[in-house]
Amino acid sequence: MYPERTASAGPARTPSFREVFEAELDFVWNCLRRLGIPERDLEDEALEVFLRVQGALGEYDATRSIRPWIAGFAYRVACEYRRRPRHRYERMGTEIDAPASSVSPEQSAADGEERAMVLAALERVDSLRRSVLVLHDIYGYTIPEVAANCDIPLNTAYSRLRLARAEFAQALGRLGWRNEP
Amino acid sequence: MTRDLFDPLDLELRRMLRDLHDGPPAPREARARLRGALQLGGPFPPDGSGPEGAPIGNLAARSAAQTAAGARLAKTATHVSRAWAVSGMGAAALIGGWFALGPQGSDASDRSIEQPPALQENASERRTAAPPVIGPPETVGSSVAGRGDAPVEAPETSPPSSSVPETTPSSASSAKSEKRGAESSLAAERRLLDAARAALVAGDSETGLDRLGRHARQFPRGVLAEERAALTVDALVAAGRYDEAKRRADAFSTRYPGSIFAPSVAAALQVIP
Repeated sequence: MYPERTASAGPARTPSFREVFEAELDFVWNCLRRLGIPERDLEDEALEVFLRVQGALGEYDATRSIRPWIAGFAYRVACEYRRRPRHRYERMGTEIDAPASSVSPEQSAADGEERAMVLAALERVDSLRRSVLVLHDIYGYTIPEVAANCDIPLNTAYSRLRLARAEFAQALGRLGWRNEP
Repeated sequence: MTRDLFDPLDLELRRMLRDLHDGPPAPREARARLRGALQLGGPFPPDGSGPEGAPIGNLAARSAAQTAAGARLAKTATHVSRAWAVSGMGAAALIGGWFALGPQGSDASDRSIEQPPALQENASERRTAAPPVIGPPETVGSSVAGRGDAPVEAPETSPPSSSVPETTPSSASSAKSEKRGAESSLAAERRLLDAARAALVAGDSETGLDRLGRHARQFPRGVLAEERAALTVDALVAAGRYDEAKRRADAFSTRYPGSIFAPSVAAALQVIP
């Protein structure tokens, strides 16, 4: 997809904005969803993310993975979304993803139930803390990556992760989840 | 990985979270609309050998993209009330401005839209936070042209520039945006002024002036021209351009006698040492 990922030699070049858009829209879409943007606003907020990406692409270091960098924009857009008065006290998105078509109905139902529970627990985590949890525990970025790309102090990121995990686990427990061996 | 050193999650919890990694892709329709809004044209060829996208750093392309984006974003019009809370002016002011002004003004602008950060500070905080940079005397026009843009407003006596269309023709991909009509224009105006105000709130008077300049170029006869003129005084004061601010304030008073924004303009001048 990106030149730096397919070329075997030579310096990586910054991908064009079009390449980034085509390759990363789904990522941005789901990242925003996980960060709590309701379905109805995903399109507008995704547009906002890409406008910012477009404006800053010249600053992107093509030797590094682009997704954590883009996730930083998604994080900021989601934060700003939450700070808007009309969204401040609104519950975060709870839309349940449609199950994959390749699984059996029984498995789909079980998976769907678990997924719904996880999403419900996730939405009970403070939004700032959840952002770190989402980027770290869902998308797998290291905390230093999260801190750097979201412009938050490293220790703050660790602290938010710790608190978010605790809140998430507590919320799951309240929702009736039991971790049985 | 540092995460394993720090309150590791139960493996099952971690698996459950990782399962959220993938979700449904963006709907095709949304992808198409976003392509249009970002001026990216048709779908990207599967082999990745298609035409290059919008050139990065190309201001014209970015502006065009933002133009469409502004129209696209206008449907939500989520910021209409935010800036008013910051400035202490009620929604009635917007309504009043809408009905009282109509098409007027001789200012110039563009439709570049940027999402402003949340506005949580009041006007007095904004003014005190503004850097007291005092630049050399400049003309009104050059004050904003410092960033390569057109003046915030044309001289009061000059007619609107006929070379700057009030609405930029969009490509076919953004035709849908154009259908939004006057309501979208108002929303786009509002967003741009919100963006300017947000920059001022953040103490970034240069960006604030830049956005006001964009508004002036894009909406020379915008219904929010009066508010823009008032904000410009604010921005010039914040930028330390006190002489220009005073001139603008005088022009404002002449042009908009009895304006609901008059107290805001007066308050802006009061912080000039």
